[in-house]
Amino acid sequence: MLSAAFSDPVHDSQQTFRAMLSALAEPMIPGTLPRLPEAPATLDPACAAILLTLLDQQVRLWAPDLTEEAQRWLQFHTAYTSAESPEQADILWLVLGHERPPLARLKQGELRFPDRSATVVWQVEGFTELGAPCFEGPGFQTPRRLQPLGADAAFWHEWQQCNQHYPLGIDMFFAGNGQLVGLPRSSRLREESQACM
Amino acid sequence: MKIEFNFAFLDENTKRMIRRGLLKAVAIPGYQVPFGSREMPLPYGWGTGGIQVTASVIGRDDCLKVIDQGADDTTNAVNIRSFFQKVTGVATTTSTARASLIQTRHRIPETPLRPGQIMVFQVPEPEPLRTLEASEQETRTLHAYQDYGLMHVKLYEDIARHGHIATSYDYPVMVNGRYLASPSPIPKFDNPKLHHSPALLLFGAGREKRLHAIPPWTRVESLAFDDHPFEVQGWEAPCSLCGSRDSYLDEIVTDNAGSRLYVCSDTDYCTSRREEA
Amino acid sequence: MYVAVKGGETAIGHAAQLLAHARRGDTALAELECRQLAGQLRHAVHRVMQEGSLFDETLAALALKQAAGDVVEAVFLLRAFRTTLPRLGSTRPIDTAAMRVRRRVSGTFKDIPGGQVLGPTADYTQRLLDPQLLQCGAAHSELPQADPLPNPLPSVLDTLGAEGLIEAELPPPGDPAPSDLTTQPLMFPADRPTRLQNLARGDEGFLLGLAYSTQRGYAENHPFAGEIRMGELELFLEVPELGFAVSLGEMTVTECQMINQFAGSASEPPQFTRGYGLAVGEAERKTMAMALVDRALRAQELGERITAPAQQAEFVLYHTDNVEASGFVQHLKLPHYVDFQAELSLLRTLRQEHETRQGDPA
Repeated sequence: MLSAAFSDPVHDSQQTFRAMLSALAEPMIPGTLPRLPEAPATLDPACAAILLTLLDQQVRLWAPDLTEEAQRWLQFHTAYTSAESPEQADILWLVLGHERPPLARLKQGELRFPDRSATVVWQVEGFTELGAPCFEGPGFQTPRRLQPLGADAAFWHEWQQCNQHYPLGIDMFFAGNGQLVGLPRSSRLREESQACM
Repeated sequence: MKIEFNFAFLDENTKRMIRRGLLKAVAIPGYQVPFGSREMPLPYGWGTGGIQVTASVIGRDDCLKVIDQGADDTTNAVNIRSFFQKVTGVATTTSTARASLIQTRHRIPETPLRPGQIMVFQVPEPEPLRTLEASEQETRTLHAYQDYGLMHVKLYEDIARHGHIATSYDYPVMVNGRYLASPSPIPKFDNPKLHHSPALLLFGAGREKRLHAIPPWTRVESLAFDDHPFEVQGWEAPCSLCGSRDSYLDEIVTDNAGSRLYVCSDTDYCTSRREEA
Repeated sequence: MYVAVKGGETAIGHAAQLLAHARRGDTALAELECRQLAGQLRHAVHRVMQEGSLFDETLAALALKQAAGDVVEAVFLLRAFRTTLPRLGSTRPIDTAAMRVRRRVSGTFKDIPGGQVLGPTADYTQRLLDPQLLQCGAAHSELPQADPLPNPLPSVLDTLGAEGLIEAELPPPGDPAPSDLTTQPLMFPADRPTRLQNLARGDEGFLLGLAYSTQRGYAENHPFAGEIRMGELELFLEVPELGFAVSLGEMTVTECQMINQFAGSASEPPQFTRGYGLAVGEAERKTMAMALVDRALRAQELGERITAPAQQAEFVLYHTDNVEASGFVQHLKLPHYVDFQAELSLLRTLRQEHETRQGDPA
C-alpha cells in the first residue's frame, strides 16, 4: 500500500509553488514550506512537496538516490517520466554530499531557448551563513550570505562554471526540514574583496 | 448537464505547466518563455495571458485586485474580478496596499508596491522587436545574440525625424542588462516603477503564448541615448478630483466645445486621497 | 463637476440580459432545440467542431445556439470549454482506407476501383432557392438504394504509388509522437504534422483565401484532386490496464489528397508530390483548401523558391486561428485611453516643437 502525499493536492501544491516562486524571486532567503506531504523515508518531505508540485508525465526526472519504494510512490502520485541519463533530465533530485553527476553534464538550455534547461532540487539538512559566499543579482535588495550545510568552495566553483554562459545555466532549490532556498542562474557570486551585508 | 470547474478554472496539469514556465521566467529575467497557453472563457486580447498566470498563482489566502487603465471599475476589470470570484472564491479588493495579487492592464498603480506582492501584467505582444521584425525565428535569434541594433536604429530615426523618441507607451526596457523586453502597454510614465520594484512582476501573453518576469530588485532600464535621456510624461494641471500632481492623468472631454478636465487614471489612489483630505 | 465613471458591474449585467433577449428573439416562435441544429444545420455544427477541436455534436450545437449562429463565437465557446477537460489518452491513428465511405470522388481517373460515389453532395444541383423549404413539412423523396462499397476501400493514390509515380508518404524515422498544439505552443520551424494540425483547426475562410491565392499564381503547384472521401471511421483507444483497444465510437471524417506537380532531383526520379487535408465532419471545401496550403508550405522541403504568402510558414500558421484573430482584432474596442493619452501628449509636444521651428527665423 502506497502512502498518501499532499492531503489537499490542489491547494497544497499551490502553496508550495508560491513558496518556490518567492524562493527563486528572492534567492538565498530561507523560506518555509507551508504544506508538507507524507513521504517515504529517505525523501525529505520538503523535497517531496517540491517534486509533487513540479512533476508530471511531461517532466523527465533523474533521481539516483530514490529508493524503489520512493520511486513507486512518486510515480503513483505524479506519473513522471524517468530520464535515461542526467543529460536528459528536466528535473533532478540529488542529496547534497552524495555521489552525483557533475553539474556540467546537465542541460543548460540553448541560446535561443535557455529555458530548456535542468532544475536541481537538492536535499539538504539546513542552512548557515557561516563561511558562506556572498551572492548578488536580480532579487537581491542587498548582497546576502548563505549556504546549505555541506556546500563547500568546490561546490560553488562548479556552480559558477556551470552558469558562466548566462543565460544558459541551471536553476536550483535547496530544501530540507520544512525549509526552502532558491538559487536561479541569474545570481552571481560577489567578489570577496567587496563588502557583503 | 452541470459543468463543474477546478479551483481557478485551469486543470492541475495546465497550472503545473504554467508554474514551471513562471519559474524559468523568474530565473531568466526578461526572457520570453514559450508556454502552452489555453483558451480561456474570455477572448484573446482581453487578458487571457494574465488570467492564466493569475489562475496558476492564486491561492485561497490571496486578496486580489484587478485594474484596467488604472481603474478597478472599468468593465473588463469588473469582469475579470468576477471571473476569479466565481472560480476561486478569494477575497477581492480595490486597495493597492491591501492586495496580495494584482492583475493589471496598461498601468502600474501610483501607490508604491511592497515586498511580497505579485503583480500580473496582461500582455498583448511580448516581443519588443515585433514591429521591426515580423518573424519569430528572427527575433528569437536576435535575443539569443543580444543583437538589439534594430531597436536602437528605430529610436535614432525617431529623434532624427521628430527630435524625440516617438514611443509613449510599451516603451522598451533592458532587463538585468541582458534582455530587451516589453513592459506591456503601460505608459512610459510607469517605466521607472519597474526598476528595483519591491514586488515580483509577472507578464502573461495568452495569444502569443509567452511568459516573462521581472524579479524584485532587478535592474530595469528604459532605452535612451546620452543626449536624449529617458523622460516621463507630465501635466500642467493637477487632478481635478484629488489635486495630485504626481499621478498619471486621463484627459476627459467635458463638452462639445472641447473643454477638458484631467483626472487620475488610478481610481484607488484618487479615491483614497480624497478620503484623506 | 465630472464624476468618475462608475457602474461597470451594472452595465455588464444589463448587456448580458440584452444579449439573452436578442438571442431568444420572438417568443411567439418555438425555441430552437440543439438536436434540431445538430440534425439540420450539420455543416455549421461540423465547422464548430473542426475549428473548436472538440468532437461533440451536442456541445457544438449548444455553442451555436448560445452564439446565436455566430460560428466563430461558437468555436470560441467550445474551445474555452475544452480547456477544462483533462487529457485521458490518445486514440490509435485512424486508417482512412477503413472508412465506411459515403462519398468518394477522384478528379484524376475516369473510373476507379469501387467507382465514383457522389454521396450527399450539392455539386450537381442547380443552386436555385427552394421555396418549398420556406414551409415546414415538405414531402420527402425516398432514400436511393445502392450496392455496398468494398471495405476496405484503398486510396486511388495507391495505384500511382505502386508504380512509383508519386512520392511515398512515410512517417519520419522512429515515428515519433507528433507535437500537440492544444497543449504546446506553436514553434518554428514547424514540422508537417504540426502544420497539418494547425491547418485542421484553422479558420476555413482564411484557408480558402490562401488556397485560392496559390491557384492564382501566388505559389502555383498544379493540383489535381486525386481523391476526396467522406464517411465514418471507428476510433480505438489502447487501454494498458486491459491489454487491448476499446472502441470509442464512430466519427465522420473528410479527407482530401491532392496530387501536385512533380519534383525530382539528381538522386530521385521525377514523381508527383502530395498535399493533404483531413478534418472531422463533412468538410470538403476545408480539406481541399487545406491540401493546397499544405502543399504550398512544403516549398522549402521540396527546394522551391519561397515567394508567396501561402508558402511562408510563420505567416500562414500564426494567422489561421480564428479564436486568436477574432480576439485580437476586436480587443481594439477595449479601453485604451491610458495609451491614447500618452500618444496625445506626445503628439502635442511634437506639434508645438514643429511650430516653434517653423517660426524660427533660421
